[in-house]
Amino acid sequence: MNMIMPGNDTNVRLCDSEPQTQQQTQPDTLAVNDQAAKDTTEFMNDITPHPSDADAIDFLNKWLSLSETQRKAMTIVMSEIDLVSDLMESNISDISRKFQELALHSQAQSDQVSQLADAAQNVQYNGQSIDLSEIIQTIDNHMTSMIGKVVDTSKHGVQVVYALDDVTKDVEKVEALIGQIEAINKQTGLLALNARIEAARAGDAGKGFAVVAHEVQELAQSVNTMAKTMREEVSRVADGVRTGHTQIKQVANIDLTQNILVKDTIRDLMDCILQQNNTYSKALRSSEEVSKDITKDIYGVITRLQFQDRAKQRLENINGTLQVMEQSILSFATETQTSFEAGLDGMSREDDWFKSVIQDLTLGEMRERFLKAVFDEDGGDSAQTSAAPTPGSSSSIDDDDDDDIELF
Amino acid sequence: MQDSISTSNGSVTITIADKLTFEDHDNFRSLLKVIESEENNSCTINLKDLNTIDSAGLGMLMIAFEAAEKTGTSFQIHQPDGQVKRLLEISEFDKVMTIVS
Repeated sequence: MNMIMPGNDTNVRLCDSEPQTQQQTQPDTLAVNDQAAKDTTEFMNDITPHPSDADAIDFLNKWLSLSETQRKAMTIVMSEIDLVSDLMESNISDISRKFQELALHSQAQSDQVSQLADAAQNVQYNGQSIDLSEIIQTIDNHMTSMIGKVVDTSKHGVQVVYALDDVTKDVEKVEALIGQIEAINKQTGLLALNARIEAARAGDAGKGFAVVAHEVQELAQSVNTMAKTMREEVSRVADGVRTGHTQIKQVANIDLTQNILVKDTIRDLMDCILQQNNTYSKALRSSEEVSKDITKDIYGVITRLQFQDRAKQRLENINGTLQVMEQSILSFATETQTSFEAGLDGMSREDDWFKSVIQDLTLGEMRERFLKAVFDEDGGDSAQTSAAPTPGSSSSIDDDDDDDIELF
Repeated sequence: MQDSISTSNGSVTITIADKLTFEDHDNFRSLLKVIESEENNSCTINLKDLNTIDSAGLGMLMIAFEAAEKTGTSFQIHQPDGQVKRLLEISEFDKVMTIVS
């Protein structure tokens, strides 16, 4: 602070060249000057010209003005520190709350993903939860059983064809037998006719024989009618058998191998589904783990945010220290004023250095508070704040700066 | 269907080649008679040259097995290949009869 305080050169003039005069007008002054000052004064007396009383009063006034300005600055620094502390507390508790919500959402997400991963492995069927691999096994079993039946049906089909082949041949034999019966019967009829002719030739002696021959002829006709009926019946049976034979051949001829081989296709598809499902499940499980990690990280952040408590305590301590410093400056100023009852009005305003200090404040709002606290000036006085723009910052964009920070 | 039969010391080997479908059921029946013959105590069906089989063919193989079983003849299927082998596997013939690769 000394480096930028104007009138540094007056340090030298602090050492009064006429100590007697000063002692007379303000007898208590020397009492409060510390020993070191006296030593310096004595030393300086030897090497510098002695300043006048007026110079000394002017210089003390500067001191008082400086301490006044410093006190005010300290007060506003303390209130700024309070402001920062409050700002930090409210914002960090806000952030902390948001993070709590975030952690809860992340936890919920993790749970949902976990449920999803469980659900991906199971299928709901008839109110039961069935594992996908179990379903595939069930389908496989059904397919195997169905294929077994296909083979069994094909076997029976061929067996029925074989049986009907036999029946067809048997029916043909029966038809041939009926033909033989008809042939024999025809001969019997002819035989009976011949017998009647011979009986007629024999006259009265052959009358009895003629009756027998007539009976035989009638019998042959009856057998003939029967054989005819049999032929008709057997023919109907043969037609039925042949139709059945043709039908069963058509059935047995249906190739079901593609239906058997479809088991392979279904199995492959099921394996694909299972594999895809496993991929999904793995991805979901990994996503669940990530969500858990995020939740853990968020809780870590919340824990770390508790630094605000410690920072607040430190700021309070800094404020305490500043308060003590302010008090000591005040008591020193009071003491100086009571020691030099007359001539000191503290009116020597050393404003420029302070203004150059606050020029570095990038927050216009804060700058205004400083100016108001120290000079009781309206902060809108931009001519003062921008009087000496600091390198790297332009006063013309001060308001923009504010806006930028507000946006953050 | 092309088939050949060889017999030695009570065991008969029937080789079925090309294809075995429903159309071959008549010819296959004559093979069944060989299998059912009391003279044989073991029967081997060699399918190494069989390229095609349909469901009726599978049924006929099953009938052949049952025919052998009825007469107490041991029954084996040898060297099925390709589509025939796959169909026998899917139909789980190996659970019913002996299949030698």
